[in-house]
Order: sequence, then C-alpha cells, then structure tokens
Amino acid sequence: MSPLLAQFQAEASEVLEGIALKLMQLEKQPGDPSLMNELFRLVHTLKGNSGLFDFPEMTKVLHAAEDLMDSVRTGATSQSQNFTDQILDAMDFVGELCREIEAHGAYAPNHTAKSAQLAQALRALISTDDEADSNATPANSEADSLANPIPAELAHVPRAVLDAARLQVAEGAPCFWLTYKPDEACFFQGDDPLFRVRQTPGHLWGKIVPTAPWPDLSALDPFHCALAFHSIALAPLEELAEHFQYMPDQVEFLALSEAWLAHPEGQSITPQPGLELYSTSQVQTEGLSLENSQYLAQLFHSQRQILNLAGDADTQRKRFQAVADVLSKCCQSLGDTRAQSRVVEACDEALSSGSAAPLLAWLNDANAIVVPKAGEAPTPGVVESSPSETSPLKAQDRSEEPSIVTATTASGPAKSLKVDQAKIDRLMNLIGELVVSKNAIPYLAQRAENQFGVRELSREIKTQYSVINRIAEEMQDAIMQIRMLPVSFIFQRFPRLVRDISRKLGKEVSLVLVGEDTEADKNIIESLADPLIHIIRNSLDHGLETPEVRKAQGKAASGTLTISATQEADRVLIEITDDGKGINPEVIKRKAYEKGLVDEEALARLTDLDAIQLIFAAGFSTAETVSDLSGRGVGMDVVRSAVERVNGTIQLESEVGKGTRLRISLPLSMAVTQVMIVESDSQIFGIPMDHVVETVRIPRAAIRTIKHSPTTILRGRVVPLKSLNGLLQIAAAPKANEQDELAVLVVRLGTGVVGLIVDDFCETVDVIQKPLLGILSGLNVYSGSALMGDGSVLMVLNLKEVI
Amino acid sequence: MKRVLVIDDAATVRMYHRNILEGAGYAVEEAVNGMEALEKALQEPADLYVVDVNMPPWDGYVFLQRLRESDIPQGPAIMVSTESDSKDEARAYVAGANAYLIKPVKPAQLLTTTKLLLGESVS
Repeated sequence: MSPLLAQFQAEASEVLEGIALKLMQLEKQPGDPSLMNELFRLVHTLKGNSGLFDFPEMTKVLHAAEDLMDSVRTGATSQSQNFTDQILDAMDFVGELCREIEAHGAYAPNHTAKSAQLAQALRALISTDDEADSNATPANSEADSLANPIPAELAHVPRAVLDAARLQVAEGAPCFWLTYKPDEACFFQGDDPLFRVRQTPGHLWGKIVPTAPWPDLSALDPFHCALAFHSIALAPLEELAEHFQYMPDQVEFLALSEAWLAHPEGQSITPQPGLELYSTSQVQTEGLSLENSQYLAQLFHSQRQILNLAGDADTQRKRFQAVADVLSKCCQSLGDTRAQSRVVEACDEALSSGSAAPLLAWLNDANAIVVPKAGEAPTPGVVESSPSETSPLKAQDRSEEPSIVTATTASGPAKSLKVDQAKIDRLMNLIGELVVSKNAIPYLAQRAENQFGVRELSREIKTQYSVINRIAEEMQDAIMQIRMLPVSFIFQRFPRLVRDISRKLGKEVSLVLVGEDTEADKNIIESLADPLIHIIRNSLDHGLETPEVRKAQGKAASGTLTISATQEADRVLIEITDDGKGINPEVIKRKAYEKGLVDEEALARLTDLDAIQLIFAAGFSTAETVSDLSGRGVGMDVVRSAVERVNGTIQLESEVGKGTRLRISLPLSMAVTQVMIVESDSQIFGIPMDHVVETVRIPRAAIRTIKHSPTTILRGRVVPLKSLNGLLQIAAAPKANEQDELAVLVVRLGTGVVGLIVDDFCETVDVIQKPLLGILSGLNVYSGSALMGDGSVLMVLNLKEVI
Repeated sequence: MKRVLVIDDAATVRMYHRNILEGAGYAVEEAVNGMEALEKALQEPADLYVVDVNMPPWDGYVFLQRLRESDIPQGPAIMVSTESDSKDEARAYVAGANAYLIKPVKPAQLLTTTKLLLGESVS
C-alpha cells in the first residue's frame, strides 16, 4: 500500500469513529449547531480525502451524505430518526470499503449498485425544494444560444472583456461576435480550428463549447470534431470574412453594438460549460503546454476577479500591488521581461490613479490562452460516467508502479500518540541538563572526601550517583527511541522524484529502495533529505546514460538506482548505487588541475580512488553544461558539508562504465557526544571520541623530522605530529612530563591518522554539544560548546578545521 | 530551496500536497489549522502558502486575513477549496488569496500555479 493510501486509511478510520460518536451525541442533543458543524466537517474531510483516489462509489455516497448534512445544518431539512439511520448506513458502507482497501489495496468492483442506492436514499431525505432548483436549468440552453438576436453567451463573457470591447466600440472600432462550427470531418481536411480561432484578427475573447452533450467515453470518436467556438473580435467584417474564407458556411458574424456590450443580460440562462479563450499576444507563451497555459489563464482570471473587488482606497492599492506582484512573477516564469516591465508600468499607473483599469488593460492584452471557467467541468454527464478522468490520482497507479520495489509491508495503523515535536525537544533538553548536572555529583563526592574528610559520606554519594547515572542513561536512551524515525520518512519521496526527473531527462530508471525501516534520529534523517535529493539528481543527470547509449554498450536499457539503508553498530549507512557510466578519474584529475585545486606534484601522486574524491572539493563541477536539474550552483561540496555537519562521512567509489557508489555513514543520534578532554597551556579542550584512535606518550628523542615536519613511528607506521598549541596559535611550547615524554593523541582524519601533541590527557565525558551562537558562530575551529558538571564551559574542537 | 506551508486539517490532503510539492524540490511544512499556520508563518515566513478553507478553530479566511495584516514578508497564497461557487471564490480573494483552486487539485495544476506564483520557469 502506498504511504498516501495508508495515510488515507488511518485518517478514514479516525474520522469514521468521530462521525459515529457525534451522531450518538446528536441523538441526545438534537439540533445542536456545534455538533452539526463538526459532523459536517468530518464528512466533508472524508469526502475530500476520497476524492484524491479513484474511489467513485465511496465519494458518491459521501457526497450525498455531505449534501444531506449541509441541508440539515442550515435548517432546510429537519433532523429525523431516519436521518441518523441513513448516515450510519452510509458510514458503515464506507467503513466496509475501507476495510477492503486495507486488505487488498482497492475494493471489489461490485459496490456500484449499493453505492447508488445509498446515495439515493440520502438524497431522498433532503427537502425537495432544493432538488427542484438543481434540476431546473441546463437542458434548454443549447438550442437558445445561437438563435437569439443577442447572443445569450454574451451575458457570461467576463465583465472586463466586455468593458474593453465597449471602449473600443465607443471609439468607433468594429466589433463582431463570431460563431464558428467547424465541419465534423475538419481534422481530415487539414484544419486546425483552435489555431484558426486564435489567429482571428483582433481576437479578444473566445470560448469553446461542445455542440452536443458528450457521449460516453467509450463511444467518443476523437477524430470527429464536436466543438463550436464563440469569439469576440475587434476587426472589420472583411478581414474576418477573409480569415474564414474557406469555410463561409461554418461561420456566422454578428456585429456587437455598444448597448449590447453594456447590457448583455438580454436574457439570463446558465452559462454553457466550455473553455474560454483570451487572446492577442502581449505575453510570450510559446513553449507552454496547453495544460499549463490553461492554468496560467486561470491564474490571470483570478487576478481579474481580485481587481474587480470593491473596497476602500487603501485596500485597493494593496490589491493592485498584490496582483502586479503575481503578474510580474508569471512573466518571470515565462521569461518575458518586456511584459514584466509593462506590468510594473501598469501597476504604477494604477497606484497613482487609484483605478484598476491599467492592470485590467494589461490582462486583456495578455495572451492567456485557454481558460476553463472555475468550477465548470466539460459537461456534468462526463464527470458522472468517467470519474477517473477527473480524479488526479488513481490508487492502482501507485501500487502497480512496476519499477519501484519497496520493502514495506502493509499493516494496520499502529496504536500511536501524536505529540508536538517541541514537547519532545523540551523533554530532551531537560534530560540533557539532567545528564550534565548529574556529572556534578562525583565532584561533590571528591570534595566530601578531600575537603571535609568524610570518606563514608563520599562513598554513599558515589553509590547514589551510580543509581542516578543508570536512570539518566536509560532516560536518555528512551528519549532517543522516541526521536527515532524510519528512513522511509524521506525515502518515500524518491519514487516520484526519480520518475519525474528521469522522464524529464528521457532516461529509463528503476529505483530500488532497501531497508526503509532502518531508524535514526529525526534530526539526522531530516538533515539527510537535501543531500540525498541532490545526489539522486546527480546520479540521474550525470551518472545514468540514455537508453540508446546503454543499449549500445550492451547494458539493459533501463538503469538501476539503488538506495539502501542499513544499521552498523551505532551508525547508519546509506548507499546510493547506480549502474551508469561511472566517474573517469582522468577527467576529474584534469578538471581539478585546470581549476587549480591540485598542483602537478600532487596530481602525479593521486590514486584513482583519491582522484574521484576531488568532486567533493569546493568549486568543483564536472558537468560540461549547467543543467536545469543538478547544476543549480550547489556542488557535491555542499552535500559533503551537510553530511559532515551531523558528524557523518561520505565516500565515493566508481568504476568507469560500471557505475558509481556513494556511501554515507551517519551517527544514529547526535544528541550526546562522548568527548575526551585534553589540556594545552592550562586550558582544556574537548575532542570527539569518534576521532580518537589512541593516547600515547612519546619520548622527545623518538620524534624525527621528515620533510621538515615532525613525525614519529608508531608500531611501524609513520604518524605525522602536530602541536595543538601551534594549531591554535598558542605561543607556549608543549609541556613534557618528568621522563621527557610528550602526550600525543592519535586521531583519525578522513582515511589517515595524525598525532596531536598536547600537554596532558584528562578523562572522557558525555556532553550535550550546543552550537556556538552569535559572534562566536564564525569560529569554525570549534564544533560547539558543552557545559561541564562543575559549571565550566568546554570548547569542543572541530578537528577537520583545526588540522 | 523554496519553502511551502501546506495548511489543511486532513492529514491525507496534506500528504497529497506534500508529495506533489516535494517531488518538485520544494521544502514543505505543514499546519493543521489557521492558528498553527499563523504561528509558523510568523516565526518563519514561507515563500508560498497552500490553504484549505474549513478547519477549526481558525479557517483559511481568518488565517489569510491575519497573515496579510501582519508585517512579515508576504508570500503568495493559493486557496484550495471544494466550493466552486463564485461567492466562495470572491471571499478567498477578499481575505487575501492570490489564486483559487478546486479540490481535488490536479498535481500539474498545483505545481504550475506554484511555479508561476514564485516566478519559476514552467515548461
């Protein structure tokens, strides 16, 4: 079951329970308005949710229930015993469907009759006044629309269009109403009626209407033109006649007078459903799909309505500005800077004159192409007979997606409690403070013994401390468990992302997700989302080849992208593997050299494995052209730093022609860090234990200078030495002990090790690291600060930056 | 990454919108009613709001009014409603919506409208 369907399922059962409860309460308090509203809202929510899937039977019943609820709520229908029974029946039916969906991912196809019967029973309860209303109108509009001297459609042309036309007519411009009924076989005669209409001279507005009610989808012949066009054009009759010269019998022209344009409501009928056209070409919309240009036109339509709202001068000015902002963004989207600057001009004019006219004029000029008027579906009949057409997402579509393998198992919603994250964070901070303050107790024991000489008390304090310590650790563990999230939290977005990107790139990719139930701390999981998306984009864009190239190389046409998560000890490993073209180390080396990231000497020493790691270097990008997808100015260095910010590491392996593998290793949680405390020049510093390999004392005599840097040999291995004082620019020299030995902390850094010369080692402690704030946040040699048990502050070093 | 705040009392609808928007690379945050949404917006204004109508205690209209009265940077707002009545639509605009879409919203329409409102390229 897809996560969305599972979510629907869980919410549906919650809502159904709520409905049953409210109905029972309503029986006791008939007519209680707040109960009524709540009940209506629950049914409404459920209906809305079911509309996202292809569950027509369920939606139908819920829709009827919603209408009934609404009618009862507003007092149009009285609340009877029968009402409760019917709603309960309907909800039982919905519950039954939900259980089937839960078991099989969809329900059996045999519910249509039951659904229709229930819906009818519900609607039968709605007071009949309403019904008479809703059934009255649409049938006779068709015939009238062409016969009447004033085109009936004129009454439904947006006011702004009529006003614009009227102004032109008042100045003596010719204005015609066109009715164009293309021949049914026009597509076979090489005609493109939509194109012809849009090319009409002086085309101002248009609408497409079906010539007859739509037949059932199975009976529909798409090669048969069943459309008629209405238009308003500001052009002389001769020009119009010439434009339509090859189809004189299909077009009718009617001159529009100023009076008609001013009072088009000659007779009021329901507008015929259809698509509206606006025209002329102020905005560059070439390259916009028909679908998108409809959405654009709809947005323009909204702006028109906003401009037509009444209000005081101040409100109006705000609206002008808001509309201008939206229009300007649209122009930006379409890359039309000229139209954008005209928006700004129109807005300035509107603001100074206090009238919406300049912006309305801009909109009238704008080439918003096809508008379905809000709320108008092609014909009611079509919606009823093929709901899948209007349903944006079919449940089956998602579950059948063949290329996506997910490892989740369908199971009932677990019993859970929703808690605000802020509350968890607060609890965690409190536990953090508890851990820190419990560290003060050993100091206390020491003082009791050393300062006050009460050894007995000291021992008791220590015993008590171990109890508190154990509880604190368990609490810490428990809160960590609460904060754990499965990686599926971010993985579930990938199927769609991969599908969209691969379509855009014309590549075939099957995505395999493994180990989605692996858990890690919420913050870690969240910090992973952006880098992973970036990596996936990179893999699809640069890694995987197009099907043709793959076939030519003897690979399967469809590439495979595997994203897996596994837990290893206290770390989570995420691997992103593709079987694409791999990364050529020679290309990387050349690029890195060209960009000045490595010098010639280093280049010669680089192994292939080291070379490809260079893609993580700042300022490195191999893509020849910056593409829309992965070349957004963030390189792999951003990915690396995002991973390192949560103490993760990232590694890259690649084989030319075979593919690339990225391994990200992350800590399970980032709340508590174990640090070793070291002393240098009488100051203490913390070093994360993750980095510490060992502590050794090395006689001064064992330190040699190789290539001008101090080095020592530790169990046959060369270890370069660095003095912490030197790195932190502390003037004092490292202190040695009585035997003239230096304290060296061997730390791991990337793949190598470095010996850090310090004055002395102290104990290791668990600390809660807090990031440095304010003016200190610029100090990147420290990864954060921590509060010690005795109240002092420990600065934790960020070794990558220090060394 | 542009941030979108999705406000709806139905978790399924929130997830539906989230899937669509995140698939296109937006960072999505959620709120279950107008009050929570306003708190979130005041803390960190989003680049765009997708607002449901009916969700107690504050509905989408109240949220939009308060948002527009506030002095935070004003992102565009798409109101998403099941009502196709022009009165409901006008009410949305009066409250401060920049666009009005009818539920269930087609993924392509939500995305294109979002991109247009944010000035991002649409193909």
